[in-house]
Amino acid sequence: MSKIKTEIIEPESRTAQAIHRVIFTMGGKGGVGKTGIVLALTDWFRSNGIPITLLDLDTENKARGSLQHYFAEARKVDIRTHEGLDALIDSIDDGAEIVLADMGAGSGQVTYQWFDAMHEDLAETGVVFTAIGVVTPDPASVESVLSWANRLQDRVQYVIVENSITQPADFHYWKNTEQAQRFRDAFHPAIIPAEHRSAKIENPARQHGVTLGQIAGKKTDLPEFHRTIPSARAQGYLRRLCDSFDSVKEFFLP
Amino acid sequence: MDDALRQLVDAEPETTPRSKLEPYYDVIRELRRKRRTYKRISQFLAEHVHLSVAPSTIHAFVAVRARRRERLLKELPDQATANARVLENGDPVANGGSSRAIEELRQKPRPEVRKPRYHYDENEPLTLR
Repeated sequence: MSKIKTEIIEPESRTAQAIHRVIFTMGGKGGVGKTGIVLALTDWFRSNGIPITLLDLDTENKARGSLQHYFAEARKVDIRTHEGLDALIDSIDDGAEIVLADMGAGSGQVTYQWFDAMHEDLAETGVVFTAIGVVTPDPASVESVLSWANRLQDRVQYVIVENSITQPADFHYWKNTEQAQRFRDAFHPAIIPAEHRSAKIENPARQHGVTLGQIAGKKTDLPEFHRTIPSARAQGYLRRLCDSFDSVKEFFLP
Repeated sequence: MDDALRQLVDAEPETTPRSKLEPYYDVIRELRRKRRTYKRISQFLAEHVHLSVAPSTIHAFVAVRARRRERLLKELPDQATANARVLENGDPVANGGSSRAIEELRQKPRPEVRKPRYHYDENEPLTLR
């Protein structure tokens, strides 16, 4: 397992004390496990008693794969409309201190434009941003994260999740390329691992909209998750992910 | 510009604002700077000036003027500036006051342009170290 590295770098434009934090997934490459990470992070916030507002900005994905499938209260927003990403700020206006948003694949251009138009004023009012990038052995996942960083620059703090979607997982393109090294040198992202998870848990969980937390606590009606093995495995996965989130909690709290 | 052309240009009427939002330009600008959403601005206008307008209309109003502002930066400079540029390597004395004014402008400290901390070329393949 990779060693967790944390070195917080303050965004240059952070001029006021942080009052609100908007956390979003960098939604470039599809199928890398962005929503899975958001689900685990939601479990982490809830297990710590921290209220959050969930936004499902994944308009490309089918209902079954998106955040709202797991959490009915997650508000679905079409970011391609004129007001799209303003929903992030609407939530803050409604009192949320932390907004957790799951972006869909291909949402880059809209997000970049919104950041260019809105970030400066938002930063002055104490809104800070965390961008979660998920890398896998696929070089396209690395390229996607680097493309987002190229546009967002130091207007956000970065958390990179090394998601082992295969076993064993080789993060060669993330760890050994010049472009990725320059990204790490420039922004000092928090880097956390996500271990490979059994398909016997992942697939039915996705199919039925069940989170690791629900499987671990046997809080689901599905008989296949009532047995001890899946529950124990889910507990282990979730515990290790939550330990990782704990280690970089500064990136997730206002 | 010669006098005949000057008269023709002067005879052209000013274009009148076509958007019903034009009188509320400053209101929209201020509210946007206060990070109010287009939806909220729409509600604000309805409540306070009884103007019914869709959030998307306000968005379009802002977007068009933002683009216009970008275009203005690419307009031709005024004649004095253009002359000074011509004389830059020649006879600045002949241009008298305007060259002095331009020189003063040149002496002013320029706003610092921040270099991006990171550059990534999407068209280049990842290269191994």
